[in-house]
Amino acid sequence: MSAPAGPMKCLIVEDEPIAGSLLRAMLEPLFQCDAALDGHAALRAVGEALRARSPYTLICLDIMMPNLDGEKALEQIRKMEAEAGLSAANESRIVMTTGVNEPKTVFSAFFQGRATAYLVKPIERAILMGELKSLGLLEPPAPEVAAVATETAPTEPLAKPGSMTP
Amino acid sequence: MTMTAMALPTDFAPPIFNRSDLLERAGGDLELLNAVLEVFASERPGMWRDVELGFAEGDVSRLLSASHKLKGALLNLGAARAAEQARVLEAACREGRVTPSMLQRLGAALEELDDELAQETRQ
Repeated sequence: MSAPAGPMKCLIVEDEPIAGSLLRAMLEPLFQCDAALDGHAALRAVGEALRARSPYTLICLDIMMPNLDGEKALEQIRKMEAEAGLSAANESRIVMTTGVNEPKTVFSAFFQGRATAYLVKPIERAILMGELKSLGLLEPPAPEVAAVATETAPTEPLAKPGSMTP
Repeated sequence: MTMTAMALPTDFAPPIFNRSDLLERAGGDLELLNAVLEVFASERPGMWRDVELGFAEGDVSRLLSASHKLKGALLNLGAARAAEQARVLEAACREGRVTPSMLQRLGAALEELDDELAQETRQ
């Protein structure tokens, strides 16, 4: 399954309203944004997007949330993508968001659950935009490059531990 | 020449509300800053009510979740002083040593923040 052309979609999974509103305001100029307040709602949104063959380009996933936390949601999302036959190149870029006092949970989620990157809150536009740029989401790749990437993308996680604030 | 005694800073309490920090994090977008303040004004009563209910019911899990959420909102807002009190309460939940004074200090810090934000709105 490959991702169809169209506006890039983003899912913001965040139960805390200020972070959610900041992320939404910063991402809306670039993405068609949806929001989910916990991991269960995130899984429902991802499932619907996969069934509609319109997966999210970007998912911002808070780690500490009620009901189903971000780390467990991350594992489930990757499983759903694999079951849907989504190629590695078309997997959602999943950016874990976390508070400054929760680095251990970030590392666990990052390496075991195949997150793409992570951001430490409080949310800052310049850092978020830098992260999107490094993930190649600010400027869409040329069509021929995207086509090659779909054929040859490795299956390893797109680990990028450099974005962690010590 | 009259010499005026200058008090040395003895109180290193974090700021009540750091507007310039929030504005910088918002990329200098004043509209976004104001939108965030509006979201906080509408969400703050419910978040505080969750904290109070968690405490009143002796429900540590609910109190932990509510204080964590409030702490995050305050940090993202740039309200470091109240966020510190929420952090203390959250940590106490994890360690099983919550006291009424922690709730009182958080409530007082939130009222202090309300006053500061009300001044901000009037400006």
